[in-house]
Amino acid sequence: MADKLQFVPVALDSLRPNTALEFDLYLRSDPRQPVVLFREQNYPLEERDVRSLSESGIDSLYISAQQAESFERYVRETVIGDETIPVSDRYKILRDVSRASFLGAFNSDCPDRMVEQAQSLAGELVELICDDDLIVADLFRVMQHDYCTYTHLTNVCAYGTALAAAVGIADRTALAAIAAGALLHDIGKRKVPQVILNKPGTLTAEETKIVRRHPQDGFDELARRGDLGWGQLMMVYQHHERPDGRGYPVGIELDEIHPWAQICTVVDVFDALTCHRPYRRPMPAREALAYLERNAGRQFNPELVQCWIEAMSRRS
Amino acid sequence: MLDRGHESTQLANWLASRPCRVELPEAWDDYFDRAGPIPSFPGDNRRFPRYYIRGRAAMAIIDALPGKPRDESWHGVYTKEISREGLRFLHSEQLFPREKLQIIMPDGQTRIVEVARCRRVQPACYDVKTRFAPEARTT
Repeated sequence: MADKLQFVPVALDSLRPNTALEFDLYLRSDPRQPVVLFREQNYPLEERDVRSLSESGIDSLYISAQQAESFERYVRETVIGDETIPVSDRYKILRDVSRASFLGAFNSDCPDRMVEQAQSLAGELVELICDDDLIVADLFRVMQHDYCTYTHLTNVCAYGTALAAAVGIADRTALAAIAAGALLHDIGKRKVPQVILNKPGTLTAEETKIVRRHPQDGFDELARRGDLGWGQLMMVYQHHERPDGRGYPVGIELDEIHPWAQICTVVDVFDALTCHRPYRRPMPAREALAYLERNAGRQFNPELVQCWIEAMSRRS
Repeated sequence: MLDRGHESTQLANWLASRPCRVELPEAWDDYFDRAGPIPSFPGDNRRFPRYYIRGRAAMAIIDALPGKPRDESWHGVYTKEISREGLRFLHSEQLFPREKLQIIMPDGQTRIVEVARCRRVQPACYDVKTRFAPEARTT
């Protein structure tokens, strides 16, 4: 019966012992075996269950795809507000549970769903990231460094919000707008074939041309919407512009690049360097920061680079 | 005949009086001398031939983007190329894709276009590529 359903893995640390669950939990103790029912809904998971699973090396359970919404609701209501969990870990849990719905929206033809998902996820991420306890270096620790669109977008969102807060943007509405803009910044990449995005070798001139269209394609898609601000649209359109005027799509210089787009550029490149790409191994954070510093003034706003370096070196 | 000549002088005067702040690069000193069809090049996959159309025109933004309000005043611009699909011109300021414009061409014709792309050439010189709006393409 169980294996006729579609299953989604959920991290064990996203489940709180002794809370009511509105979804069934399944267990796969052997990767070659089908999942089996572990806890029926409304039957709480106990402290000792979690301990025993952890001790057996099991770090995730499964839920049926049909109950994914109940699971998301549970995590948002129960785990995200739990201040006993470090902020960076709560960020990781929120990112993981939002993955399916966000990707569904990203892959749909409907930008409305994407914007709606981005705005909702951004609001929640900002609530977490603005917490006084957040240390950017801790955020880096929990980031996934395997490259995929979702990981990159949520990483840029979290880093971008942290950098915006570090440069003194304190207004939560503005930070939520920046976070949503960051989640949308690569929306134009939906038009770039996967085979080009994941190509291990150097891109041909024609392929480079196709990849370079994504800021404009994203802007084209969103520009006539009334529910996005100009700063957010500029994060989409200008995140590959450079202070020296050698960027794209327009080739404008620093004073014409929107400040939010400048923030997006710094963290976009930082995440691109520190994650695994098909054609390159991930760079350690200190090397990525050295790259940003070397190119400050030409490729990046130097003040933002300094601010990011300081934020990354701050320790708890 | 006299009337037509008079109209054309009036148009030329009106176009010339629109403020134009475009600064052409020094190397483009023959900008207004170019005329005729633009040669294609290997790998050029454009559907329609392009023609040089060098002159002074007037442009107004008639439908701004929701996040970027604009005034509707007329600006002087320099036309560059034309094809069946669109028009390219130089403007002193950056324009954004999907902004809708009205252009009064050097010969007095009116065109409604939508910005497709904009590229900075140098300060006060932006190369703006536009597409004719569907209603304008059929007339």
